Amino acid sequence: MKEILKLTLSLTLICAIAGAALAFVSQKTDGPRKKARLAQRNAKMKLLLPEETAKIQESPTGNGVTFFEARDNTGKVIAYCAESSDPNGFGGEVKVLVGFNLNGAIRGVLVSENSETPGIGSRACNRETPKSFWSLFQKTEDDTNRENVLPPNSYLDSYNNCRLTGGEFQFGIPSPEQDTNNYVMPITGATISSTAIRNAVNRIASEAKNRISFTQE
Amino acid sequence: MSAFKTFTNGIWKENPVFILLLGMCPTLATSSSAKNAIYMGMATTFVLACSNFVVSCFKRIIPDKVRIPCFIVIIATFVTIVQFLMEAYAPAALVKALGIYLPLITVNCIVLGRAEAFASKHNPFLSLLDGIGMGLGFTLALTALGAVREFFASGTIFELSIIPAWNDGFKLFSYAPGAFIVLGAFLAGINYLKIRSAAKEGKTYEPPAELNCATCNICHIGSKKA
Repeated sequence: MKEILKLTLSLTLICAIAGAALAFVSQKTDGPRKKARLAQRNAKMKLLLPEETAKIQESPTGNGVTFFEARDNTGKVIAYCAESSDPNGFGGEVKVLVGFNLNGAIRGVLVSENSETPGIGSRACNRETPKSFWSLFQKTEDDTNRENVLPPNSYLDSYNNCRLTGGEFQFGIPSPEQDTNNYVMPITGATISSTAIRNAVNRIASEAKNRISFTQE
Repeated sequence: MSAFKTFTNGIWKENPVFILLLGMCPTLATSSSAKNAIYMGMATTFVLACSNFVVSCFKRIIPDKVRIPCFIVIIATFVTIVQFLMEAYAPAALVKALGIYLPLITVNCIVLGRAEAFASKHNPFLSLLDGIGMGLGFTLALTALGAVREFFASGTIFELSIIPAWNDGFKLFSYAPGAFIVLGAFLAGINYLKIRSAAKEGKTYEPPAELNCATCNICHIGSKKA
């Protein structure tokens, strides 16, 4: 009996100390953690929005889609950004960010969170410019201003200039009449990841049609 | 044991991955690229050093019968603290790269193994050194594995392409089976070095007892022929 008490007491003591330490650190880092998360999301959205963007404001949201308004210095809305997700990626949820103009033309698509298989499904999600080992010795201009440019991804880039106001996004060969038929080219061998991204974009499109009054042009 | 010896012990003589064969799950899972490996190694080193130090400080009040749960609580606390601190202050790229690996450190048996085998028997200073040494050994081993795997899988090392046309290289090496193959090659190489240096000194190499070489006739490790 005495031993059980001793064991219980020492375990309780250690857990209490651990709990107190965690509570302290959690409270101290709560503000900076939120700030860092927000800064990360804003940095990603900046890549999809025009250069003149001065402020990004969250606007009313629903149905699993979050909309953001990009305003310039005078406070005028110049573009939008929207985030949504699809649960049916190969490795779980895929979160997608879409930036689009006032007329509904897509400026760019970015996968903000994914756990797709590296080297297979991730090819549909990642925007990365391969860096050459030899470029370490030979700096070109490309390397210096790479930071502010959205790296290419053939699948995600095929969304560019498609209209959210048009029909549902489908896989196929892009045609000149993109306004009515939105065709995008998936990546071979990454069909499931490509489909998850397409579904998320479609969710954003159908939600945007209800909430945002696009300009005709 | 001297302080210096304690420190270098983990890096080569008792390298946790190549000699002690501890922490195989994180080793195989996170050595898919050199960069991942080095991040994972650094985070593990920090947790290992802190938990070794704290376990050694508390070793008198931790009863023998519940020592494992106590160690786990201490380790888990440090892992969570590292996670909080990194989310708040570390660069975004680092947090993203380490995201799923950090919680894995809690159940990394190197950390528990060193708490049990070293920190609970030695003073806090030596335990701290042992933690840092073991952590560095883990980082080095992981990075070596990661570099080889990344090179074969995509022709890059540290995400710098060495062979530009090899973007979709030998994908086997980016998965667990490839990790086993590379790890096996490393272990064979290290055993060869050990046998050779033992032979030079005129001794017979004694394989670790847990390999149970007495009943096996495959590689003749340590026998005179090898």
